[in-house]
This record gives sequence, C-alpha cells and structure tokens, in this order.
Amino acid sequence: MLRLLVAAAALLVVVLALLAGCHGHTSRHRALLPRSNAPGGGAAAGARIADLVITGAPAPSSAQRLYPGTRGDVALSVRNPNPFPVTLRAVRLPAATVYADGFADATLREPKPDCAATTPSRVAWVDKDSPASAHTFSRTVVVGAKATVLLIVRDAVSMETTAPTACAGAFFKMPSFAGVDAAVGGVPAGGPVTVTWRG
Amino acid sequence: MSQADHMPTRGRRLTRRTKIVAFLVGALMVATGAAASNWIVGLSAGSSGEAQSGTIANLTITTSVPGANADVLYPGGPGDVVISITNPNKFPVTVTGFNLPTNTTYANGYTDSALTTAAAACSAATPSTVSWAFSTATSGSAHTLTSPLVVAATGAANNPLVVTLSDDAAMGGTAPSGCAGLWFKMPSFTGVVATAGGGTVTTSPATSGWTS
Repeated sequence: MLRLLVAAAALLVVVLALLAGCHGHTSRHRALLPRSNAPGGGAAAGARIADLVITGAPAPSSAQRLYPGTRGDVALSVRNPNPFPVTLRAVRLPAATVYADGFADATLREPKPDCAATTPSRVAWVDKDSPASAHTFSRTVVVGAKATVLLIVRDAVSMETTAPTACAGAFFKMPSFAGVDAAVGGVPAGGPVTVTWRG
Repeated sequence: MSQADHMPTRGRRLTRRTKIVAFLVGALMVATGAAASNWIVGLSAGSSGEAQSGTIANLTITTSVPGANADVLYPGGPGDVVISITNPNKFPVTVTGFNLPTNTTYANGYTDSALTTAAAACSAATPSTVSWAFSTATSGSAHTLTSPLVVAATGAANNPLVVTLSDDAAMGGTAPSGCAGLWFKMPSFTGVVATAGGGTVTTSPATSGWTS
C-alpha cells in the first residue's frame, strides 16, 4: 500500500511539472500557433483558435420582457467552433446611444419600421455609457468543444420611457458586442445558463 | 499451491491499483481542466443577442358605487362619478385623460346601487338627460385630468384604482322626476389617454376629473 501511495505521489509530481511546463510556453495572445520544426523532436501542431459566434436566440417564456422604463433579459446563443472548450467571462459593449432594431418575429426577419434603431427604438444595452469596460458575468460560462450554449443575461437591456408604441410586442436584435473576454479551457456545464453582469 | 492459484489474487491487486491510479489521474485532469488557460479567444464580428418587449393590454373601467359624501345630481347641476380602473399589464400605466361620447348620449337610471334594476321612467331613451360633463356634439372629444392617475401593475397594491371624477356628470334641467333618487350607469367612454410607465403609483381611492 505504501508503495502504491509513493507511486501515485510521484505520478502527481510528474504531471504537475509537465502542466507547469506547458503553461510556461503558451502565448498570452490569440494567434495561429506555428507547427514545430525542431529537428529530431517530432512534429506537433498548435491549435487554430476560432472566434466565438454569438447570435440572438428566442428567450424562454420565463425571461423578463421589456416595458418602457424597465429592464429586460437578453438571450444569447454562444457557439464555440473550436475542438476544445472555451470559457467566457465577460463581454464588451458597443458605443453609447446605439439602439436595437425591432422585429415582428422571433427569428428577426420582419423589421418593424416604426421601431428601428434609427426611430429610435430606445432599446439599448444597460451600461451602454461605459462601452469600453468589460462587463463581467456573475459566473463563467464554459462552452464545450464545437458546442452551443443558450445564455440568458438578466436585466441586461433597457427600454427608455420614450420608446414608441410600435415597439410593444417586438423582438429586438441588440447592437453587436465590441468584444469578449474568453479563453481556452474549462469544464462545460451544459445549458441553458443564466447570469447577470457587473458593470 | 500452483502458479495458476495465484493468478486471481494478482489480478485483483492489479485491478485495484489500476483503479486508484486512474482515479488520481482523472481527478487531476478534472481539477486542472476546471480553469481556463491563457489562450485568448476572440469574438466573431456582428455577434449580438435578442431581447423581447411585452405586449400592451387595454385598461378596464367599471362602475363603482359613490360614497356618502359624493356630490349627487340635481336638474341643472353636476355630480360625482366613481369608476374603478383595472390595469392588466405587468407595468404601471399613467392615465392623463378620457375621450367622451356625444353630449346627447345619456345614462340609464337604476333603483339600486348595484345597477341591476332599471328605472323605466329614467332611461337613456326617456331621456334621463344625464350625460358626461363637458362632452360635446362630437364623439371622442378629449378631456385632460386635473391630476394624472398612475395605475399600478397587475398584482400590485392599488390596482384596481378607484377614482372619483369630481362633478363630471351633468343632469339637464329638463330631467324627468322619475330620475330622482336613482343611480346612473354613465355612457361608455370612447377612449382613454394613457401611456405605459409612470412615477409614484396613485393610492386608491383617488380623486381627479376634468374641468373643461
């Protein structure tokens, strides 16, 4: 039994050492990693890292709807095209005073002319006045390899009191995000996932 | 004891050891995999989300019994009207005015406050000459309340909101004597001027009305 414990401890030390070595050589920048050309060292391939794709998704019936002067929930379909999991921690918002376009259908194909971003719809991201800062989720969201997760962000959207009546009963395509804070790795927990964000 | 007799015991030892090592390695992988790495992932251009707004349901206005202090109608004089406004929406609604029927649209008289027993000698067709004050010959004339009414969201306190419309009923000077001591069901509003949202919810019962 003692031999077994010693062997397990040794294995643990070796694996940790290997992992520490790997971390020491990874780039902090998103990049196409070059293939190794080290002579006699064999060939290894670094992974290409593809961008996450976030699209609008019909929110579940439990999601908070928008009314003039209130906040509502937003539904995000987060797709990870990579063959490894990705952890999403935060999003960055677009410039201030960018409003959403209203649509008559959940698939966002039939625009509502009197409830467009240029009307304006008066529907925007909460904290849109601080677009440069990352808005961190209340918990990390791990999207599995080549998987998609439905993400509900509570109270992330606001409708101003001056929103036109034509915006009642509409679906909104929110202004595009300026970026995300995401990294390779993590253990997927499945979905859908509900979070809030901190400005 | 033969070599074969030792095999099952050795097999059990290997199986147990294999299980322990596999457990340790698995636990280690899970532990290290729980954290994201330093490899940064970007976002595809145009990435966005979807939100949805709620629909708007109409307010419901019903009659309510005037209190003992309400102004009652006499020929040629005004009287109070009491209404109950129900807001079925999930948000408060601010009412700023009403649209009235024509000034020749009259109320029906009843002998009871529940408005169940009609007074034959004091109906709209008689006519009772009881109509909305400041109504005109044009149906749909708009009349602004002296103070806006904020009706709470459905399920909240003060919804329905009982409102006394001060002196907003009128009885003509030619009203028949059969209209004395009755309750009147006022002609239906043709519309309401209301918007979603509002400030402080109006406490029930409230008093408002129009004066022109």
